[in-house]
Amino acid sequence: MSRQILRVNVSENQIDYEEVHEEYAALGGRGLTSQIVYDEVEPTCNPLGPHNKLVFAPGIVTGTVAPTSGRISVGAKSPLTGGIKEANAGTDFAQRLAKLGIKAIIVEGGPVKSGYKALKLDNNGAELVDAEKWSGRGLYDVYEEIEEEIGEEVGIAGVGIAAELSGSNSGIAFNDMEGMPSRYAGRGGLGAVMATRGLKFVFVDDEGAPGVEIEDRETFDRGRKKLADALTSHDVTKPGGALNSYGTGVLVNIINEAGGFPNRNFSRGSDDRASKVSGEMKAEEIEERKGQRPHRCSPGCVIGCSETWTKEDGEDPMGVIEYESVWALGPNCEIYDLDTIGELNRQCNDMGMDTIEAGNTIAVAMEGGVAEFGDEEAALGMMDEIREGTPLGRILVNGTEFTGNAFGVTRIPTVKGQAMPAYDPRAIKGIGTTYATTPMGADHTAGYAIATEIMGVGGDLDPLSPEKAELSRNLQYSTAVIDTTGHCLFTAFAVLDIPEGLEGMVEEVNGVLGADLTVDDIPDIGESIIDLEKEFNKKAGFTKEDDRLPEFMREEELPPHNDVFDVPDEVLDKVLS
Amino acid sequence: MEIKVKFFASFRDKAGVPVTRTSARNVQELFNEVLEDYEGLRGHILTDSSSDFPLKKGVTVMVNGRNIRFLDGFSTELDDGDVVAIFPPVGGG
Repeated sequence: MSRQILRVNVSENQIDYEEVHEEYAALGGRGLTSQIVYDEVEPTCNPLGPHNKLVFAPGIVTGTVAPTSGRISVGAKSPLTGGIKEANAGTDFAQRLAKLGIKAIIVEGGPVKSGYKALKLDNNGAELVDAEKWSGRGLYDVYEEIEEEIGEEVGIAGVGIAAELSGSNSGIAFNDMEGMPSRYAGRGGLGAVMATRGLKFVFVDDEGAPGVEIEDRETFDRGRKKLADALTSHDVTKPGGALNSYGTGVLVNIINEAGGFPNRNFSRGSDDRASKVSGEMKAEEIEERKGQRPHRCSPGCVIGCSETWTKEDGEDPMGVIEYESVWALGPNCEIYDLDTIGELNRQCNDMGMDTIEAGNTIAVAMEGGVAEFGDEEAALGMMDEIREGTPLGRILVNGTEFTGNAFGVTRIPTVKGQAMPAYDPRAIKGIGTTYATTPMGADHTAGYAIATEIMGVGGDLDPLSPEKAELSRNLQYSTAVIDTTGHCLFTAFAVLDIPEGLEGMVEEVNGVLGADLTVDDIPDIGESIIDLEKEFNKKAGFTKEDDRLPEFMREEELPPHNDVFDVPDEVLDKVLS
Repeated sequence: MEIKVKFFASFRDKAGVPVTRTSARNVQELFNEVLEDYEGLRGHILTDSSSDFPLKKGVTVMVNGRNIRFLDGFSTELDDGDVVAIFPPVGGG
């Protein structure tokens, strides 16, 4: 069965299955979402207006037995950045969708007056059903109800209260293996794009689905084995390795020691209290509380970096608290208590918000005088304001830059309107180079220079050296390709160090597509995806002046290394030129 | 003279303590002393190589937040009050 594109217009109550264009046949994941957004969305359109479109696309190998490949990409014009956006998540929703033979879902059309709908997909077709009864409610309860109503073996994508408020900080929540709304395509406000098209949920039931066609089984199997061998032997990704044992939070201590862990809205690069929220500490707590660690976001992941965090009494499981979330909702707000951070994370998941954006928003609100840094109750109170849709809540739900501007803050850590993740670019300049230049706005996953600058993966470069154009460029190109295959970005830790693993990834793709790509093709493919994204942004009005970090990071020294972000503008301009 | 040595992640479990102290004058001396006290760590941190930088791949050693690869390697000098952090291979993001 050939794969199809599903086009949905909720306002017109229209669903069409389309054959896949030839030029889309070799694409998946980010490569496909960005291509469709480029082809079909007017770059100058209002992101919440009727001319924007939301695209879901599983990766090329997603839905097969390729290891650690349960990723779904979501793309649109971003309400947060005003540019093109791709965000991806690991979830069985991706695998179920791919197995149904759906290469992409394109959601289009304008606002709906008759209430929110859910798109229900199974092997017999698709239909739009009423979802209004789940409007205005927290996603934890709603996902449980959905499972009771339509069964546990169904993938769910959904948006929450933040999206219903048209917040620029609204993500798309996918179910984890326990059915909780904890796997997020969080960044860039894609939830609001979905909600303003009248779509509240997508349900995917893959019972009886044909599965993903594999053109060349022998090549695929050879590649799958090479990649699995690399992942299970590399110290970072192997069973019992760092990610499996401690989760992504294992980074807290090393980034803090390196002086690049932002505290108090990017005022200090380290703090002794950070150890209280470290991955080591969290793993101990999870064991005591009888939560789950390790845990997988989707079937077939051999890394298992996820977890299930609970309250102190072991009740109310809420899913993973990632490194970025711990930092954003914790030390960046001068909060060093895992239970408070866990509650803030739960609120983000429940209302459908990106934790990085939410934590930065709270921090700039604190800097703007809304509350004192470290005031845990006030931080939780800000979540209540959003839930209640108060005027303050309506400011906060629109993200860091909006909130900073509303309260006269000049130290706003954003690029292209999107808040920075958990690495201060003054202490780790390659990641700052990526923040500045990626078409996505400040995004660590766009070119994860930390791997080379801090962890020595794929080489060793001094984090304080400003010569990072080549590193950032190479990583951005290879990341665009990984995001297109459907593999988790964490596979990069292994494939950057083990050449056979990278060969295996390419062979898997060749096996599915019947193609004959080589490892040497990766940079060109990545470049073509990013060129397209840059071109979209250029047509949307972006210039090279948008590829800059905030003024305060170029002028204000960051303790303990007391350095500024001194990568020259000419170097930034060369990264993706 | 006192140098604080911090172990992280799996090294903390293998050492059995999060922190120890030494009076070593450089990183080489520090390893000589510390790995004698915590012998179980040796094979996880150092290779058998006779090179002047016999650190296992992925292991990170920082002195006051600076990776010794970008200082003077094993010859990096230590002063009273310095903090040395030793990490196994880690990843995330």
